[in-house]
Parts: sequence; C-alpha cells; structure tokens
Amino acid sequence: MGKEIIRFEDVTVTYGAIQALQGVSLSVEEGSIVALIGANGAGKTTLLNALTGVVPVKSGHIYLRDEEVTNLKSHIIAQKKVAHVPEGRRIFAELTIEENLRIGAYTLYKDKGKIEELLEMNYQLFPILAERRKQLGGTLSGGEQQMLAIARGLMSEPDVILLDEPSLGIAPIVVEKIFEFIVHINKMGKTIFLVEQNANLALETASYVYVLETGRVVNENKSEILLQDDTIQKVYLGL
Amino acid sequence: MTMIVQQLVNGITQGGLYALLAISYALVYGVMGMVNFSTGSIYMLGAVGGWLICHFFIESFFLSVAVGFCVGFAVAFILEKLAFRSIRGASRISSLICTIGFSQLINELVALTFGKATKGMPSFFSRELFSIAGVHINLLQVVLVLTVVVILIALQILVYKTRMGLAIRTVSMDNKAAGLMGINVDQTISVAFSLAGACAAIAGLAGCVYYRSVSAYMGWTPGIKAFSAAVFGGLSSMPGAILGGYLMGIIENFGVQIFSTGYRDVISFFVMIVFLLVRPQGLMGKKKITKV
Repeated sequence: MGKEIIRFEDVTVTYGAIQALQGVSLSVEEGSIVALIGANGAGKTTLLNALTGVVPVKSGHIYLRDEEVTNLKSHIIAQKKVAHVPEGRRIFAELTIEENLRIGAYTLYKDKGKIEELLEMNYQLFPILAERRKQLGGTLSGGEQQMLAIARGLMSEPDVILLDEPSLGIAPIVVEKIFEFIVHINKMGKTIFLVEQNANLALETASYVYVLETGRVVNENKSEILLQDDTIQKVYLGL
Repeated sequence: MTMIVQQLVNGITQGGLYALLAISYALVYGVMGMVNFSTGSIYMLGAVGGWLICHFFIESFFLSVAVGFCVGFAVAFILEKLAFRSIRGASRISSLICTIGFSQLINELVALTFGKATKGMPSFFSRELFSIAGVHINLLQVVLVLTVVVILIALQILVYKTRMGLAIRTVSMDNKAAGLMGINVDQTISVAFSLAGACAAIAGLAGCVYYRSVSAYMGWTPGIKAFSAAVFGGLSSMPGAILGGYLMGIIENFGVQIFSTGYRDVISFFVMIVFLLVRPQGLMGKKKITKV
C-alpha cells in the first residue's frame, strides 16, 4: 500500500434538505488510478466538487497529502497541484485552444519557459490540439473538447487529476482513445481519480473502485474483485 | 458642414463620459452577471469628491481626477464587500433591486450632507484652443477627450495584457471553471467591481467639469443613458461598451441638432428600446448560447 494522496473522512454535503453525500470515507493512493462509479444522482460530481471547494462540506474532513483542505476555496486547492477536469468539460468556448491551455497554466503565470514547455508536451500528447491551436474551443467536437479539458488540467503540472465523467456524451470510439490517454497520463506519474457512470470502462481502467449509491459508499474493492461481484455485474455491468 | 463637425466634436466629448460609464456597466456585468444601477450614484460621488477638493483645497483638474478615481474605487470596493458579495448568485431581480436601493441610499445621503442644491464647479481650461471655419474647440474638450482616452487605453492594457486582466476575462466567461484554474474569484470580482467604480467616478468628475455643476441627483440620467449605451454596444463586451458610449454621445448631439434640446434624453432611450427589440446582444455582444 502506497501513500494516500486524497482522503475523505465521513464527509457530508447537503443541498438544502437534500443530503448529497452522507458520511463518505474513501482514499486515493498516490500514483494509482482510482475510480468512483455510481448511477446518475448518486453524488459522484458532488464528491469531486467538495474536494475542490466548489460546494461546501457540511461535516467531515478532507485531506490532501495529510493536510486538511476541507472547505478551502477552489483556487487554493488548484495551487496545491490538483487539477479538476469538471463535468461537461467547461471549455472556454470563445477562446482559442492555445488560450484555453494557457489559462490552465494560470498558477504558473510567471514561469513563461515552463508554460511553453508544458504547451509543447501537451501538443505532443494530443496532436489534434496542436493542429487546431488557433481554433476556438467551442468549435471542437465533444471528444476533442474532453482532450482539451484534460490537457488544460495538465497545464498546471498537477500531481493529481480529478476527471469527472470523461466519457459523457462522447462517441464510443473516441471514449476508448481518451481512456488510453488517461492510462498514459497515469504512467507519467500522475494520480488519477476518475468519476464515471460507465462502470465497465472504470473497472477496466482503475486499479481500485468505489461504488457510490445515494450519497454513500456501498462497496469498494480492487477492480478485478469487483468485476466478479454478482451485484456489480447485475446492476452496473448489465451482465 | 460646420454644424456637423461641431456636433461631432461635442458628441465625442460627451461620448467619452458615456464610454467610461458604459465600461463600468460592462465590467460588472462581465464578472458578476449583474447590472449595477448604482453606477450613476458612483458617478455623482466622483463629481462631489472633485468639488470638495476644488472648494476646500485647491482648484486642480488632475488632482480632482485622482481623487475621483480613489473615491470611486473605495466606494465600489466597500459596496461589493458589504452588499453585492452576499447576493451573488441570487436571482437577477433581487440583485437589480439591491443596486437600485443602494443608488437611492447614496443619493439621499449625499443630499442630506452635501445639500440638494446644485453647486457650481470652477471652470478649467476654458480658453478656446482654436476655431476653424466656425467650429469651436476649447482646451477643456481636448483635455477631457484625452483623459478619457488615456483611461480607456490603460484599462484595455490591464484587461488584455496582465495577469489580473486574464483573471477578469476568465471569471467573466465561467467563474466556476476560473476557480478550478487557480484564479481567486472573489478577489477578481472585487478588483473588477472597484475598477468599474473608479471609471464611473472619473466620468462623473469629467461630467461635472464639462457642465460646470454638481448636485446630489446628477448621476441618475447619465447612469441610465450610459446603461443604454452599454446595451447599444453589447453589455458583455468592453470594446462594445466603448463604441456604444461614443456612438451614443454622437447620436445624441446630432439628434439635438435635428430635433431640439428637449429631446436629448428621448433619443438615447429610443436607441436603447430599438436595440433591445431588434438586437438585444448589442452591436458587439455575443448571444449567449446556453447548452443544456
């Protein structure tokens, strides 16, 4: 067991009277790919948003490398080498691809050389973005936008990347490609915490998986064990 | 011909004031998605600040501009911290009412302390600079136009060339995503709002010098007219606000020439209504397409 980089302890998040997360505890090991699966409305996005300060945590604690980060503002979390690739990608549609990437490097603003280096790295990783660097973000297809969103996340030189539904609304063939990228990025030494409705993909990609149902972790295990689990097979894999 | 050039000169002078105010609306609308109807009151505060300096201290135009800047910046900073931060994300109607309420409050507080009567402003640079073929241009007009242009250029540099500007533009596009990129959203909104206040206050100071009068209620009409200028140019676009401001000034002055001075206010509101009906995104604004 390696070092934990993210740890949730009994985290609760509420929206008015609705309990979106009800005492969630989980942890993500450094250098791994960990996935969180669950149906629509299970609280997956809320969980990531709680970590990056987009929604307030009502009770419980969140730790990042043993440092408590509960309810810190988004920009402070971003400065702690965590990149959150949000649900729906949230590309800056009116800016070019290159401008989108440069905003991703906002925390490194002063280090111009580093930014150019990271741009080059991302263009090598995603050649399609290099080809279209002057094109507006809004003109990209869903799959390309997802690549741009991931590349934008990488521009801040993060240790951890939080991916929220990277397969959502994207053609299956492109989804496969994106997941190849995710594995590749993990091999570059980045920890990946993946939130995914597509359980099949998540179980294939991640080494450890949590199952979230109506705001609670109902199951967790190594993916090869969960793949054999009867309930998982029935409910999430449709076997 | 003489008339046309003369009205163009007057229009550009006055249009500069509208441009400053319109940019104030556009900045706030950009980062907060809110129309700040207390802009006119901050315009008035800038003028009152300048008057106090000239009356009690020294009759200096440039010192008054500096004081106007500081007053506008400070008042807007406090307003944002005290009031508008807590209503962020509230419905449009409540933020609208809140800004109108603060506008009334500021106007009445000034009326109580400063008095309701209109006070005169000393005349600066009243010397006629030149007059060609019947077109009169005085030094004041040149100074006002240049002051506005310098501020607009400085603002453009700030917004398009600096890190703070990048933050302002990013927050304007998507404040949640901006936060995830490591941008301090609260601080960015605070700076943009304060800068908007400073612009409005400088416009107010320029206005009171131009019309040589100051009063507690002087901000209402220019505030609303500049709002129509901002709508005209495109409320979400800074270049649009500048264009809208200048065009509004020019249209108004030609309109006065064609109809009569009595129609001055009618003209700008007519333009606003036409634009709201025909092209609500303004000349340079983009239609917001919300994908679900």
